[in-house]
Amino acid sequence: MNTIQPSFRDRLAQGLTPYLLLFPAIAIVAGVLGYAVVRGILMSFYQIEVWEPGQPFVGLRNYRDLFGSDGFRNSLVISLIFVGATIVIGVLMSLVHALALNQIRFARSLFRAIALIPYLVSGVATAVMWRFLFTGDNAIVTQISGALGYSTVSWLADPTKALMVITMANVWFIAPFSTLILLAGLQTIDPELYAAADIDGASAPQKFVHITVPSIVPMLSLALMWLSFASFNMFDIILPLTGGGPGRSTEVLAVYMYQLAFRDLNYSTGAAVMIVILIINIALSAVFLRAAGRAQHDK
Amino acid sequence: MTQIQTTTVLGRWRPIAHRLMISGAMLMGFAQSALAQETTEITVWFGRENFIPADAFESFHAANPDIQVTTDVVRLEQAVADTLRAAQSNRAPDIVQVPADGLAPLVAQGAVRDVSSLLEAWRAENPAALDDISSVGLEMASLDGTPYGVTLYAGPFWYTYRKDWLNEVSLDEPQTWDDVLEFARAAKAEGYTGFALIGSRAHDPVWFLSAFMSMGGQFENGVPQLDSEAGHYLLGFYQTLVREELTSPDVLAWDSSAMRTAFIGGEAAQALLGDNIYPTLNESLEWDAQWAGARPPARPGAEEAARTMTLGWPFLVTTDAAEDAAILKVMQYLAHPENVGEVSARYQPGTVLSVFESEDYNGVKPWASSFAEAFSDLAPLPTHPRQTQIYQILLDAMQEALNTPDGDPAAIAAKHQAAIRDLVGG
Repeated sequence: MNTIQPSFRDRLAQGLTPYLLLFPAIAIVAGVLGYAVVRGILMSFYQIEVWEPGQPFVGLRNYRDLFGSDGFRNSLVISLIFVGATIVIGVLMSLVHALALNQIRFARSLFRAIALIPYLVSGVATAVMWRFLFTGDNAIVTQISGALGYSTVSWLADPTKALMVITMANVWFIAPFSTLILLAGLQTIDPELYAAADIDGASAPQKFVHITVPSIVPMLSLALMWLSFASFNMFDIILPLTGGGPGRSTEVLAVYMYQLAFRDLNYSTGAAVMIVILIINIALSAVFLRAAGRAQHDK
Repeated sequence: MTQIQTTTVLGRWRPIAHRLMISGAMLMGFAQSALAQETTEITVWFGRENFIPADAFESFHAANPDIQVTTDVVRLEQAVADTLRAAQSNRAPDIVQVPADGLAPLVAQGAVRDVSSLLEAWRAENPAALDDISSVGLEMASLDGTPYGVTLYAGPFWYTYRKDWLNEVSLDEPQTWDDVLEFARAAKAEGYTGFALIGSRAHDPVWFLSAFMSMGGQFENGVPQLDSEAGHYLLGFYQTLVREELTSPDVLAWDSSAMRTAFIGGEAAQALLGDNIYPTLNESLEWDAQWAGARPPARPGAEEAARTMTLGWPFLVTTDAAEDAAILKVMQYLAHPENVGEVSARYQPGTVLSVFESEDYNGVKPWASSFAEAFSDLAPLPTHPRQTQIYQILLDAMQEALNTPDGDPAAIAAKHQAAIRDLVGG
């Protein structure tokens, strides 16, 4: 009948253990990412340009100049279109893929592995692949377009179509990971819920709207966060695919930042763009998390 | 007794042995220190692996055992930024190879040093070797009259055309850009691309500027004067190519590889190609029978103002580099006609003039003698500290012209010239 009460020391050890185990990961993230972010924030308050000697403190001038610049405003608009389109197309595609992968029984593991392949290819390789699809005499898309009687001009030579191409390439590249996230969510749904709905005579769309979607809301918000993060930071596909052109029609914020920091060697303004991207990412994540929390609460 | 005596003898020798060991160690230490003091270590960053002579400093080390050269490859595109970063942490190389337009930022940051005294020493020691380097070789490594190194490799773009097709349509070698258009129209009529052009943002607009300078385009303090007769003509030329479908309809997506492939693959009649592409071109088409090259043509009526632009990749001496004597030896090794000839034969042409007369070089590049005169009269691309930003505006202007072939070239030029003025504060 006597229960052995854990000592204070044991309770302390038990309470601290998770934090101790987390510490190395947190330390690495803080050391690598934290340092870069803090340094970036500090740099954005100074004028650090390769052609100007010295590094004077300029306060918010870099941000003021940035928001006053046509190039930045253009990149911001392009980024919002690019990210918005990627999120809408990406989440729909991921959901469809995840539902299909969740349903199939034959060679399930193989199909899941295949679905993840695009994510395993490097960004530059993806860009090269998409370039082959759209440019050159042997480009498949151009040939199909020509065979159907449409223009054979490369999509990458047209500002609007080029933006569509980088959006599609981006979705192709990053959606597999969100598919995986949603698939994990779908697998946690209790099958009895569907069985009960069948007994109540619910149709397939009704089951999807009232059971599937509410059940995967946390995963859905995670997938949305991933798609928006990855898209706002996307750079390695766009630069080799279009270089930001034609004109500046595909110069998203990440490409604009690269241009400033690594081509123009204007480190401080580049850092200011980095902070803007960071703030947008944090704000979007907060929105998605809040929406998910509210949906869970309503459920 | 014996044991005691032995101990005594050993005891007597021990201090002597200790002294000998200490003296030996000290001698070795001194020797090592002396050796370390005599050996000068020099680090050279090359912009491409191809620029490293095949000898890889082997003969240099044999002739100069007191100088140890270490080489590394830092891509030209990153060389300026990496040099500045390295300089901040006192790890800059002694000699760095950068694109010539990267000189201004390095000077602005005090990362490279004046080598006037080094060049004086070179002249005193071997004036013929220094004079063997073309004037553009020294000019491209100088800013406002101060030399910071030596340019041993320079890459102009030559006007390259299909000689066989030109003969078929009974035209003479184009002397002006209007002649180029005429040949392009004739080639188009035969089903070819009249002129292969880079229209994307994949590269700096150096082909655009090469055409600009050949059209008599001028620079003021390193700033291209696009809003000028030459600038209007250039933008109009690009527009004509698109309007009359003399270039690829995909031109806005074309990079250098698309342009080269079109010419080498026998689809395009004309292009501006770098000298380093000629060996590859010659593998597909026969020099002087199927293809030929020349200085870029001139703008009609502005023949006197035409200049042949060249890019260059100077070797610059960094601020905290080793003393001049050792640096001079490395520079002399790099500039040796044998080394420059070897690199030029397989990669970019050099600025050492005697190389053009060598049989080996002419054997590998049979067209070389045809360009020898043009090589002695190249004009370096003027540089400005905000060059990369100016390039972006030039790309905007170029792409606007290609995208609006019916637009007013003067209006496009004025708009972008104003943007450049805002940037540089002129």
